[in-house]
Amino acid sequence: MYGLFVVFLLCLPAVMFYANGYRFEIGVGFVRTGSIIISVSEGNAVVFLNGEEIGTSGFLRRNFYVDNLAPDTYQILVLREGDHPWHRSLVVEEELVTDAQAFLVPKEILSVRLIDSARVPLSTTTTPHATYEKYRTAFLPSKATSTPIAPTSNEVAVVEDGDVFVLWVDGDTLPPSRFCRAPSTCGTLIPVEVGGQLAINAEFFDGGVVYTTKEGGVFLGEVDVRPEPLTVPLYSMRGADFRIVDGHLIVKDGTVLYEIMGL
Amino acid sequence: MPSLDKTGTMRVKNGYHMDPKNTYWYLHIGRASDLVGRDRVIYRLFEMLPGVLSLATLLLFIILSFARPVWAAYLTIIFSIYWLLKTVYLSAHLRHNFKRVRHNMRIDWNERLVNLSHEDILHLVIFPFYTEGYEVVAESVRGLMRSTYNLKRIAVVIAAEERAGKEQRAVADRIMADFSSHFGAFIVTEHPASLTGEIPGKGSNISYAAEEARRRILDAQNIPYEKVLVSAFDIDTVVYPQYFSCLTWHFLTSERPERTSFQPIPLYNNNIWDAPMLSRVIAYSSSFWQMIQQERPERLATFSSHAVPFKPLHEVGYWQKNVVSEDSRIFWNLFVRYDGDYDVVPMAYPVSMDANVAPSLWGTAKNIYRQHRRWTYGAENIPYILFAFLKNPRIPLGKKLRAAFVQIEGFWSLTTNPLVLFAVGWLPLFVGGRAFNATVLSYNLPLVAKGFLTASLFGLIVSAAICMRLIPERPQEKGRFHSILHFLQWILVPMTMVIFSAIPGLDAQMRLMFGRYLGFWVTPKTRKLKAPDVT
Repeated sequence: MYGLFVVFLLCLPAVMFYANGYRFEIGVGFVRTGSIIISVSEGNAVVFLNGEEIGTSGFLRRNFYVDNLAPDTYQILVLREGDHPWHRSLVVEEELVTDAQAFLVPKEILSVRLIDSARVPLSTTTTPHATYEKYRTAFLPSKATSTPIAPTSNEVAVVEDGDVFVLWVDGDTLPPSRFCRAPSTCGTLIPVEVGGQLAINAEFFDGGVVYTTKEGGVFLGEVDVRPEPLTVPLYSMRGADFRIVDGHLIVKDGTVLYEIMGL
Repeated sequence: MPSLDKTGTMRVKNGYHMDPKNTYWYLHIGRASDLVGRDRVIYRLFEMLPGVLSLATLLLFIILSFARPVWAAYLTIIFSIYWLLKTVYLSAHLRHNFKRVRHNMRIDWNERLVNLSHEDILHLVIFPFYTEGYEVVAESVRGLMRSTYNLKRIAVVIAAEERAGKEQRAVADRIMADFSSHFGAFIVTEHPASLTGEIPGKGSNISYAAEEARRRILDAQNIPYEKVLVSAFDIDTVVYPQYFSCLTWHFLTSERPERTSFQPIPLYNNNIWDAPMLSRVIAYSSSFWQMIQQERPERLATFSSHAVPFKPLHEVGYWQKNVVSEDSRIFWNLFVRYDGDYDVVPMAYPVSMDANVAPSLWGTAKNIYRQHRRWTYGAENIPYILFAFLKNPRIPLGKKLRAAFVQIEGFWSLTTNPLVLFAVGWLPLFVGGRAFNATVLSYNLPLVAKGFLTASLFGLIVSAAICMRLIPERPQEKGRFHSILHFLQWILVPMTMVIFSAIPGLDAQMRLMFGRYLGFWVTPKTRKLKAPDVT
């Protein structure tokens, strides 16, 4: 029994240090390490860390945890056929885990023109009249000025002076890691579109923020403060605007309505 | 000290006369309400102690999980390491005891008795009996008849209950008619219903039976009390052939036979092949726990079927009639009465009993839960011990501290360890918040804890291997597949530890804490098979 007690006393510090990320390296001694975890919501995506493949996502594997990493900046790349490549530069710190979620956006995005069935009653590709009316009225001026709705009460997408930001508005809790340049350095603001073009509208959609600029049309931007967040054009026509109605992304170009599909 | 009545005698609710001049006036306290004044308050606080400690531990984990998740994670890891080492420790004891049991089963104890004067030893066997059928009782008595000991030195008491009705009395009389001629003495006692100061149950019944046996057998035949050993069995207890020889040898070779109780190992083999998997695992877990305790006699108290010399038993006033856990309480009664100079000798020899079997699995599960709640209600011994230790300055302080620590730690770990390891210990992962979830520790907590718990599984392998050696021979009607299931069943242990050990334990402690005292619940006994042999 006393032998086991001694084992217990010896094990305890070793296990505690190990659990906190301490590792022993020959010739160096004890090293404090950190970890990275990458979440991939889709299957068949290949994940690379500093150019080295660490696995492929599948039905049973959505998270890639890499531990024993010395504090440094690591390059993550996620490739999936048909999607835009996803790059991220992640800072690893001692005893902390840096996490990121791969933002995979298909390369091929369709803009499908919507036709009111009341006008072309026999067509099979038309939108029911009531639905079309709902989409159309969503662009009326009173609706257009409504405040964008955030997916959670803690985050708000705002357009200010032609720029798009996402703000963390809960001062009592730490923001998610996408607000943090490093695990221990978090802010409350993520610029989604700054400086380049004049944004006029923005809303959360499909894990990112959809916004319109006066010059370039409709875009989907990733919400992450760490370099380089992905931005994908959805409808590149000057003067276009969008609304999200019942989960559908509807774009209005002049008097014509389109639905953005394939996201 | 309790206040006196007009006659100068303290009579408390439990019906025991407590003479303040009697040094051991506190010997038969059942619960706080048996006392008055300051003593009552102290005893009540002691009753609350086990529940408070268990609740405080679990609450501490919950609060830390929210407020200091890192500390909670450290504690969970410490618990996991402790659990693994405890498994190693207990498995080593189990294996050692198993070897001793095998050895003791091979010994011819009669041969060992040849050079010891033992002819004058009388074994008084008490079978408390409630609503069980003739076959259950008869099989236990037949077990005595298969004994290699001189049956004329065995006196049997069938302890019936008046409240069970005339039919049961008829069963007892039939048993007597069928078997009494084989034994040295054989009586049926009928414990009157509704005696004041008693709770219905085994304790009040066997106490009544022991006193009746003293009057009708011992005094009637002028048998000296110091030559009598009492085996207090359950109605389903079936002895192995050399039980009495083994017990006699232990008694005669004991350093202080009048200051020693004797504890066999309860194996639940009687109906093990008819019992569902759940019941088998729990039955063997209980046996294994007793086997482990047998290797740590300093922690041993009597449990279930046990043997005790009549003289001290008589002097202490028999088993308490006002508690649920009379089997373990009798040891503490004797320990306190003889100022700490009382021990239990582990026999490392089994008796066979019934595993829980009800007509349905759900019924079995309910019975197991109730039975384990009754067993874990043994926490009622904690206030008794602490109070008696306060009142008895003659017990050495070291013995007091050790006994109190062993009992408190035992009931605390029984309740809290499984719940920490399989439930609240993981709470920091869910409620620890973003700051905790960003630490390497939060990711390593499940990996490290799971690693230690998985390593602890080797304890289950030891258990499974020993179980396979202890189960009786497979009946012909049971296929080989049943044998495989007897091995695989041990995978249920993490679940049974929580549902049928920790939770009923907590339930029992909460009842004690809030003063919702438990009554005695009789485990239903049904059986198809005869008691089998250990292979």
